[in-house]
Amino acid sequence: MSKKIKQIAIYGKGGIGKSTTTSNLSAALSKMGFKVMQFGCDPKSDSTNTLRDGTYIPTVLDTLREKASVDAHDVVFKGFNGIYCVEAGGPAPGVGCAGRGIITAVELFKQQRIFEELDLDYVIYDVLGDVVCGGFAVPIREGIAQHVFTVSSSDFMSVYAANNLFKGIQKYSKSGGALLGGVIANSINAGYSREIIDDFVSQTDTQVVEYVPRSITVTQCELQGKTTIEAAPDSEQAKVYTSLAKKIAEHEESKTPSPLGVTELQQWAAGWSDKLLEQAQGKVAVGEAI
Amino acid sequence: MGYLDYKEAPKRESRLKACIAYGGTLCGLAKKAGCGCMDDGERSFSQGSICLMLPGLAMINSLPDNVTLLHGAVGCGVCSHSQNANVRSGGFARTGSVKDALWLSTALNEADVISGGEAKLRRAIIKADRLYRSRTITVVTGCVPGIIGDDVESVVREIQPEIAARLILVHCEGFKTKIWATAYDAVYHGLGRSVLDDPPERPSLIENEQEQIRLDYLRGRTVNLFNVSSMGRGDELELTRLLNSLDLDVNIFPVFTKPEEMYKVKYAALSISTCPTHDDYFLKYLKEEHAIPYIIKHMPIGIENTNAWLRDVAKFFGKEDVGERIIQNEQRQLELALTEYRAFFKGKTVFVSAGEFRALATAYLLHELGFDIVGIRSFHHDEFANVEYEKLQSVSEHDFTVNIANVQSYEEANLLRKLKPDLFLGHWNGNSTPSKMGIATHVIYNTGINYIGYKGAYDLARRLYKQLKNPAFNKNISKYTKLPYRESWYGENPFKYIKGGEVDA
Repeated sequence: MSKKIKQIAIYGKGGIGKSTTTSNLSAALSKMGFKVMQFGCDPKSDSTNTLRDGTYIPTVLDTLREKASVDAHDVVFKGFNGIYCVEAGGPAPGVGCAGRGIITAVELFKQQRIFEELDLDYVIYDVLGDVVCGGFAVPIREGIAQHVFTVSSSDFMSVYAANNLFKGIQKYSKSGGALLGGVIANSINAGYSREIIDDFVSQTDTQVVEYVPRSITVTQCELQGKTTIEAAPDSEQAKVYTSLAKKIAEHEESKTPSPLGVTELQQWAAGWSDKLLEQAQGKVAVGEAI
Repeated sequence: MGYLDYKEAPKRESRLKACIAYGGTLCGLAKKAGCGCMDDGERSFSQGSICLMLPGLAMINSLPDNVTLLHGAVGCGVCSHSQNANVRSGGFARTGSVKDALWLSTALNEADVISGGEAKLRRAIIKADRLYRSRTITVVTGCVPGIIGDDVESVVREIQPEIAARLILVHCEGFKTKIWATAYDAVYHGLGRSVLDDPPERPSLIENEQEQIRLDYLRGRTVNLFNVSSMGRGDELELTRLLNSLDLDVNIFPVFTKPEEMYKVKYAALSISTCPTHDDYFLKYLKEEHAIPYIIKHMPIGIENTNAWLRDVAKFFGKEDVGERIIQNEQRQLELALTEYRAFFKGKTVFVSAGEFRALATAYLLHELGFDIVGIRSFHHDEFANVEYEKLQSVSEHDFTVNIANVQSYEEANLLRKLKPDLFLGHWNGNSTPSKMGIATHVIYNTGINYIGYKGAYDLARRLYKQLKNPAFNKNISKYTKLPYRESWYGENPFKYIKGGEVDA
């Protein structure tokens, strides 16, 4: 009887830090002794760069373009600490259909039963957060990920994207799809950032799994092509990522989120922008940056 | 976990290393395939192809009391119109009543593609159910839902409780694979996941031992006969006759079989294929999940092929001597009947073009009738056919041309101009190329007439005799029509546009 592989999907608005978060999460989990595969589902195919010293690996879809059939083994590469790295890949900007690319790449791995063969503990899908078509929702659908976590900062655009994602999760929740584990609050430094996120998760019936501050350490490590866990294992930031990994490892129960409707979301944002205006006008103490 | 646990069947490029581009000779192919280095070639020029939809729908449209619901653009599945003739005649031959195929389309338009087609599919299923009250509704997905990522599985699963018909789901996205034979796997996959449940039964209060013994006895002498959509009722009856004479009962599956009776396929002693390339996917499933052994050798077209096919079945049931007596009896009668034709056929050259197994089996029969084979075109190739090429190699006096092509009429025209056969056998619409060149033609399959078994061998001989006695019609056609190829093309190597798949021209 094979062990239950925990499959997690990490979504987040483009640029919000989900690949950084995912790579560090994978690195931290692998240091805890787990066998991890990170499956990048962004057409930019840069999810696993920092697990591979900054290099790009050949993608599933590039390989499919060259050969009629792909052996999944040919597109799995080992990275930091033995983490298995896969990039789905996708079309160049402006052409083709990235969503179909995700469908094809994920199905290929399922059919060739690679996860069981590699005896994995975790498969982590790093997915573009603007779930713009059916294909990008494939990791949420029944049979793929069980838990979804979304990376969001307190910027309204990323909160809107998270809310949209919750709508997608809600749609599939009735047919055995993945449920929401919570929000990973990224680039949270002080002041209102934390409150904005906390308020949002309470309105949408979910939780914050971890607060990850903005940190120059992360940037420095990324410039070296490495995760913080690898290049700065004793730093404060590495401790945050390790804590995140522990929480995710222990996480069992995910829920159906309650996304806000369009008007509710507008009103919520309007309420917060009043507070932010007060801060900008000096009514709030200086030094509490967002 | 088997393939049927997944939503879709894998494409044949991955599962079977199938191939659709090769140009060379019989010996070349046998050598390449034998040493396992048969890679698919690519064509730098392609004239037409085959979409999965066509063979897939040929099977699905035959299912009695079924509505086929195509989920995709409105033009997909238009082949159903031409298949309707077969549905009407095949249905009539089996039930005595003429019924059209029922096919609908969700006809996805631009708005549907952008916002997703699931809602429309849901409405279409409900409407089909209320309008037709059929036993089954087969949802067939075309390319469009595959691209936009419609979760058809969920729609079908969620709506099933609301409708009376049983839903069958077949994934037939044409862009996924160039090996059109994947369609058979796709249809079997859909059937295997939906219609194999046993009908609900009231459990009996008392165990009836005698009944159980009777059922086990019957099961031990029942075989599954896997038919194909290119076989007619006459061919089915011929094979049934031969199996009955071995004292076996026959379940015919899946073409024209009632979906509510398909569960019976799980209760047989043996599964027999009539076309290995068609059936391997499902036969393996039956073996793995229901422990039903299978025979997947020889297509029973031709005398030796039919003998071998029957011998294998007889051997399985320990009835070799009965089998031999049947074979001798049939062959004796057949040889007598064929004498008048053999002399006439001797030395006439023939070119054969069809789906792989049919092409090869028919070529062998033609050789038995005295013809000289000068060329074979198979619409695709996979490993099951290697043994057929070896059979032909062992009986042919000389090497001949072999071309693996998913149609590609330009290659055919070039080959025919060079080889100038006396006779051409191909699919009915494919025969237009040779007829326009003045070559006598005959259809290589037609569900209204016989090709299979001993009767088929005789019937074919009779028809070919008639055709060759007076080939004037095609000769006249060639005087007044032309093919669209430039004269210079006929001087070129026919396999000029195949890269990587050729051995020697």
